[in-house]
Amino acid sequence: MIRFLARIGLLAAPAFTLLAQQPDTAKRAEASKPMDHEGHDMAGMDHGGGTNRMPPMPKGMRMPMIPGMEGVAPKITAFLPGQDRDPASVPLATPRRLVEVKDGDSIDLTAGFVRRRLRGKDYVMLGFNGQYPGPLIRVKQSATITVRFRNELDMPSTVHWHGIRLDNRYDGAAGVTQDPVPAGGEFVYRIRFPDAGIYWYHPHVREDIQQDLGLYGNLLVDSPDPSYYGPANSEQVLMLDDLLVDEHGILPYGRDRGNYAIMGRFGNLMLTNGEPDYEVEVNKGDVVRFMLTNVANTRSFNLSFGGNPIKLVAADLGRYEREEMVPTVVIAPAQRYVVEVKFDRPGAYAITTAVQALNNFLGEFQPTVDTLGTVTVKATNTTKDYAKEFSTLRVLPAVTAEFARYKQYFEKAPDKELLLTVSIQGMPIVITAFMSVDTMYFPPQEWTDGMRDMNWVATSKEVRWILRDLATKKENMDIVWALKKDDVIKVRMKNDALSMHPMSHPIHFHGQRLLVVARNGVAEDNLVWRDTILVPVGQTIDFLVEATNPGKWMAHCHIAEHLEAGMMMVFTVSP
Amino acid sequence: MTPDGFFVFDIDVDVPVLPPVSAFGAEFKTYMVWLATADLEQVKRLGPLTAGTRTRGKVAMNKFLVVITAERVPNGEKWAGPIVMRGRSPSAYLTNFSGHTMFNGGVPQ
Repeated sequence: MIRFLARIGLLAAPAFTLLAQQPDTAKRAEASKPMDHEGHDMAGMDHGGGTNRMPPMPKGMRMPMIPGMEGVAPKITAFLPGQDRDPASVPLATPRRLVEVKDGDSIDLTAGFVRRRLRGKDYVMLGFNGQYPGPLIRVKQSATITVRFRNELDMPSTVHWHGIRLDNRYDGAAGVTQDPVPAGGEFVYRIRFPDAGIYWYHPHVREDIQQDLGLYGNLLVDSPDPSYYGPANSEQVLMLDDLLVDEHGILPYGRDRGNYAIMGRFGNLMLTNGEPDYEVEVNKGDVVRFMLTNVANTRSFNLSFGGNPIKLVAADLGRYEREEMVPTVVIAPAQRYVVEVKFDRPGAYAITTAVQALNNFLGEFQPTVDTLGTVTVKATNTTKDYAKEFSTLRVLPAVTAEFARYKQYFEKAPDKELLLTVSIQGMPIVITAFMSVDTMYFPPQEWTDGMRDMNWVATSKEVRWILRDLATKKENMDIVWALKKDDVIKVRMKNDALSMHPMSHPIHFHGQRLLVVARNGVAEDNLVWRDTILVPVGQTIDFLVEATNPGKWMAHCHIAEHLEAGMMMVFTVSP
Repeated sequence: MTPDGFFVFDIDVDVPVLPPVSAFGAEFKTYMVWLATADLEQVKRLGPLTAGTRTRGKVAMNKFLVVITAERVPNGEKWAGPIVMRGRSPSAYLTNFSGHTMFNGGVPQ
């Protein structure tokens, strides 16, 4: 026998002990029968549509009910804002409007109830200024505007201006930069825009409810440089979302605490700019600039545009050093991307998110494609042909020159180290048992909810998502990093692959710019400023925090249910 | 990611010590690294392997095997020689839970 000394390195999550046993064919067939979850007698369930009911399985996914799950339900008081209102009495929402705001101008922004009609069904939801999404606010870079916010919800709220490096007191982080605005209350925000690009606004109180029900809008900040982006025939500002519904309506939330606390609340109705059937028409040969924002609670999208070529141009807070062609755009919650797509052939092209969804029970991957919209390319030729410009991948020395100032920090030892992990305690024994054996493999990215019944039951009482400072051992809101203005610190963030249920996390730092310099020790070769960094399971990411903006700021996971389950911390920047 | 949703994994095969491939027979000329789906429906030749050097590549498969064989020729479409080493992706360990005791009344299979 020949013996080898060998190492086969796979850059993926580590393998775990094989625990499951192979069934005989008959038992496997019986156990694998799809079961109708709505036929189960679940305590607290109301199939009449009123309160706490189990969500439907993700599209195309089948698994049997786990024995012992009968009668198990999340420990929440089911809550759906506006549930007591007659939908007919709630004004029908209108599509968002563009609001161009000049330096020094003021606008009003009111959060309130709206009626949405989606695929022929009426839902009571939320909206800013009665619109879906909220108004598209367009300003010039360096402008300062005033927004008078009025809360006409029946719960407290705020507005957070995501990615904007504004004055700390206007950041909208409830409990950190301001008190929540009570129902019927008002708050005046003054917002300055130091950076060009695409940003967004949303509440920072129970995002798992308020944002999910439609409270979000974009901010488009124009650079004074007319060639900031390459030329395009048109521009589409898209907010990507999903909503969890069944035949009775929107699935309820938890009044006092969130559920879906393990994997987050994946929706099953895809929405682009609040519409399930987004459509746009373009001419043959057009280059379309898509400005994309993921506003879903937890879902990441793997986007493509019907096979048409995609050029990656910019992300959260600015442009890449060099443009590049990409096969897809992976966009995590709260992230933004600017891409250009060229449509050369007439026809209808679906904007899709295609993933290999993991069915945790069957141990199999299932190809899943969801459509987010359609681009119809007319036979009419483009009015201005940008084929040459599109085929040219611009290199931006000015962007590289800006990053050169930070190269001195790239190789230094990290100043701070964070571990992303989870603690799960007090779940029903059957779920704990199942989760204990379901540790064979965790994908770098969860694309869908492959263990929906367990996830539904899990609340922020049992699940605590954790940011752990490895130097001080402090966790979440016990962490307070003290930085000084103009500090540049290097942070190493590791997503613990050995926790009970690791998941990818989009980590957002308020009020500052972030620069990813390495992933798993491999240097980034095309840099871009970010405010939200996706950390896949098992990955270690090194990034710089450029502390330019004084104040007390939050950093947190932007999966709304993980935030609700504690995954947040604070850092201060002294003047 | 690929447009149809497969993760693209970096593969890095490093075998510091190997006997001469002729130890398997004089007709064998090279070690070869292969990637295959767990059901062997797809097989991809990653490249030749020698001791102390690394064979690298990418794979976009959900569950996959890494197979090292001794080969007579360096350009075969699929392995023909003996398998001398194999490994599998962590995802390839995923199995159907229907056979677990939780789902069959506690009776071990």
